[in-house]
Amino acid sequence: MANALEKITASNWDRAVPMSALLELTFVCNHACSFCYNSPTGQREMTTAEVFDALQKLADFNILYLTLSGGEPLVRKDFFAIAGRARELGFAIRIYTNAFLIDAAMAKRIKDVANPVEVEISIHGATPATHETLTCVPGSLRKVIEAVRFLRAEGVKVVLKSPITRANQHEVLDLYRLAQELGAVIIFDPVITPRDDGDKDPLELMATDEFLQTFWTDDAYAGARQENVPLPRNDAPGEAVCGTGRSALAIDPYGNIYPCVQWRRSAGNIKELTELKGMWRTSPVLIEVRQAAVDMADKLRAQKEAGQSGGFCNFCLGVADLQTGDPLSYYPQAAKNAEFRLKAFEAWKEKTGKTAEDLGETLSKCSM
Amino acid sequence: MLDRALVLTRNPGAAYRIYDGQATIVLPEQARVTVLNEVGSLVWDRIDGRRTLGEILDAVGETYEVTPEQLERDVQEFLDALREHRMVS
Repeated sequence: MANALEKITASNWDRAVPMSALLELTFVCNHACSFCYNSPTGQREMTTAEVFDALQKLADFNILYLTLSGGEPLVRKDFFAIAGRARELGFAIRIYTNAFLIDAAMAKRIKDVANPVEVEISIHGATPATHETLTCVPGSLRKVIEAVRFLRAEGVKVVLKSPITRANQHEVLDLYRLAQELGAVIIFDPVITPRDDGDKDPLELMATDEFLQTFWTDDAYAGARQENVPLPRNDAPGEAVCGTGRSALAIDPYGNIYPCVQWRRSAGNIKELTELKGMWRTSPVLIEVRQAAVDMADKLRAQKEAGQSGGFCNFCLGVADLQTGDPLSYYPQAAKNAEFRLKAFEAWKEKTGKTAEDLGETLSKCSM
Repeated sequence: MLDRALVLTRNPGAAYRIYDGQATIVLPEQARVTVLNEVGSLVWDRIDGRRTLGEILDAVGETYEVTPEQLERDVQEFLDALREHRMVS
């Protein structure tokens, strides 16, 4: 029996009423992560007044959750003016940062001004050598750890986000333990993506096949992967594979509006629109993207029915489009992870004699 | 008996929007998301630190066919729950 929140969320999802937006305040960053997906174009980033105007339009569009992201959002000198305005407009705020600038005073200011639902912090290793090899900034791991402590002392929820690469895969369990010690949640992402401009260099850092198999099958990693058993998809006919162009939208520092953070197909520019509602309903890009998400769910369901790995695939149309030129085409990272997830599921079935129905839950869809 | 002159204030940490007539309220410090029913949402949306409880009751009464006594009882229960969860003061 769904509770009231689940019912509202499902109803909004079905009607493509978005509840979340991600606003990239800048592409400027004080780190130089080798696998970062951002691709600045050199256009002028939005001014404070333009960001305020964008916030007003998002509030008028009834967006509840607002993620302030970057680049590194805290390098903007007007960050707290923006966060304060966002709070006045009634958003539930998330901040996605590398935490390098967060000292005790800034942690308190974040709590007092933004009162965030959570602060999401990138972490790339449990040791300075590993983390800093990827960020290219000496001292950056110590800054993350201190920042988490300062934020937790202020009562702010912290979610650590860690893309798994071949450079840090050996430290995943240490990272999980570190997060627990710090009182933070940690989410690992086993999929490295190309840059937004299509540059595939970051893919060279993908975790090894051997590690991915271990990650999905070894019980020691159950906590880290947040699943005891890989959960299967359960998309009904007509359902979308994810929330792209449906449950959320993303806006880059230039004001371009995208169906999600990963799929950079511009549906317009928020600076040029008087409101978002009309664009959201009529944009050919968004209509096409929503249909693609339904088509992909159909494709994965057919695979699942054939006993193939699609039933265990956490598919991203944006990555598929960027990497293969076809949003409905399987890309290697999705295929590998899905195959290992299927194997782990089959092994669990064999060992326990149970079925998917016994799990009582299915794979969560990406809603950005 | 409800104090009709009472002026309530929402928890300043609460963020909310109304979807399908139902207020979806996020309270970061309690890591809580609450969805109110339609009557509760009408009341919540009108708690602004300025309107009196009497004005809010009158507005809700204009929208729903209930007796004043029933409305007062329902709103009293609702406000007790909001206070218990530190959503209003």
